[in-house]
Amino acid sequence: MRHLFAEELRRLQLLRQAPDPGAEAVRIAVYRNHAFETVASVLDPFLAFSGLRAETSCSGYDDTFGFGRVFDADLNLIWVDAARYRAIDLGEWLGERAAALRERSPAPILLLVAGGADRRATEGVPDLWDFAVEDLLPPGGGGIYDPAREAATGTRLSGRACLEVARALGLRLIPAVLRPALKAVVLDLDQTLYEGVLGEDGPEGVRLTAAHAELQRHVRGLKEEGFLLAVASRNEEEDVRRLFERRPDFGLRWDDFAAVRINWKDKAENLAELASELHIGADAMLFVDDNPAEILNAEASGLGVRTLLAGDPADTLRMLRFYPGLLRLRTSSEDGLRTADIRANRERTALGETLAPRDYFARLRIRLQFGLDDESMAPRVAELAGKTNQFILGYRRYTEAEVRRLMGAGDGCVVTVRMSDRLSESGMIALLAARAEGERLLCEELAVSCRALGRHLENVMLPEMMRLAAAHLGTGKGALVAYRRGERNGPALEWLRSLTGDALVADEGRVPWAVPGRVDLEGLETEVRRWAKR
Amino acid sequence: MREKVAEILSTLLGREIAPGEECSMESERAWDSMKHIEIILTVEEETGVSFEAEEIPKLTSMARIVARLEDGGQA
Repeated sequence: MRHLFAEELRRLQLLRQAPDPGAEAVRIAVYRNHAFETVASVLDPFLAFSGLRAETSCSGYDDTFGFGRVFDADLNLIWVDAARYRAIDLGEWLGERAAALRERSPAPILLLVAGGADRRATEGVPDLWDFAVEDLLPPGGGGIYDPAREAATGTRLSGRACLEVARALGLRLIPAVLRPALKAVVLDLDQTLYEGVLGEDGPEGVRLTAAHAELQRHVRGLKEEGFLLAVASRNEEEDVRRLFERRPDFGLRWDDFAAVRINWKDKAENLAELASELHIGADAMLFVDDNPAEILNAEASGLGVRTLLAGDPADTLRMLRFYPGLLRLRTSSEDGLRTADIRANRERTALGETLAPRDYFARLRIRLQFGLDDESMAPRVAELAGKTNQFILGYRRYTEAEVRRLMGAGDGCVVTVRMSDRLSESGMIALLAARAEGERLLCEELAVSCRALGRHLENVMLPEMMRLAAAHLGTGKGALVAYRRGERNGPALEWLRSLTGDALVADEGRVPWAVPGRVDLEGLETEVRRWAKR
Repeated sequence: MREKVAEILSTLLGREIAPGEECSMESERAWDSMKHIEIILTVEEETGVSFEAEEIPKLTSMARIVARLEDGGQA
């Protein structure tokens, strides 16, 4: 599969790649004013890396983007050549056209403009992400356009540009829209983040080449985008601390890592421990190591961890730039909070082992801010619903537009919870999406961020969210809680089982639950804020 | 060169095409106008030869493509 990440892509090599019969079909509706076929024909090899394949429906060429026929789709792609327009404010007009498509199709929209356009006009359209085609291509490559051939090919884009667009769509953009993002990157140190062996060369002796410096900058950037960083290295921890202290030229600092396993144990064992410490599934981690044996060992461990064999640092950097799951299209204020929040978990865990819940809440000064229909939270609600795997009941995977509709509906509501304590600000960590169904409350979705688990909160915070939703919608005390059995939502199902006493034998269903009239929140600082329906 | 072009056409048209075989847009159902562009782009990538825009519509058979690549002349 390394040809997918090659510096120079080759169409023949891509077309020779055997299709994956087990890949999940993604229906992509393409609305366009120039040819997309030379991109579409090489999309599947890249999508296959994420277990997907495209079923593409293309509109006719239409400079007006009138959307005469709207296809049923999982993803809409508006494919625009800006050079075909003169004397109009293209950004504003495209924003208007995208909003028109949004009215007619709930599926997420990717707007790709060759020649670029002012993006501000599309900011108000939910579940839309726009990109200039030029920004999707590797820097300094040149040769994006081949206008002399437009009459023959149907597009100004060169053959090489079409291959790069297919790579960007197949490896980065489409998985970013349709699949949960990865959550952590676990890094080896020696010969991966620098040249040399720390145990032999010492902190001053290992070499930071220009390519390694760029790789470290990129990894640091991933942390700023909200990914957790961790280390799995065969070294002495004290040596590694000293390395980061003594090398100010390193782009990465010791504090950038949310968790570390620096020892001589089996790395697969360390990866399992890191997943547990970070409260994430091992399959949400990407493990980067230069040792093929470690990579094979991690793959054979059954953890499901994704792997990347590091080699030449420029190659490693390119693979990280394209690796599926490392592009976060939704960003939120929570992104910058994660590492500090998880580092603080060590202290929380120690307290939690010795104190009763209410004393634990009080000692940590845990503060919960409940919000009802807070539209400013809609992007974060969609993000949390989209990527939570462990504590989630319904797997509804709402789009932002669906969240906004539910918040605005007279018979629906979304309850969110922001949390902080004396150690850190955790941001929005839980959501409840509910509807009134007659006199009963139907809980469609309930999800809690993995960062908030293990704090004794589930049995007070979640019933309080249900109570607030029932009171908000005036449904009385009866509720139905929808659930679906997934691969990794055992913790949420176990909680529901203990709460309702139902054995949850079916793979999906609704279980009755009596909403409490009052929830004991002793020890917690709480606040409730309600927003008016629009 | 004929072998290389036959290999490319085999991959893109989805059937084994022998180097000595007659193969053209007229004879191949799968060789439509969009497939034609793919064939041209792939031949260019694999041979390092760049065709002029006005040549592209004329390179509609294996024989024409091979002749163009071998003599370097116009199709």
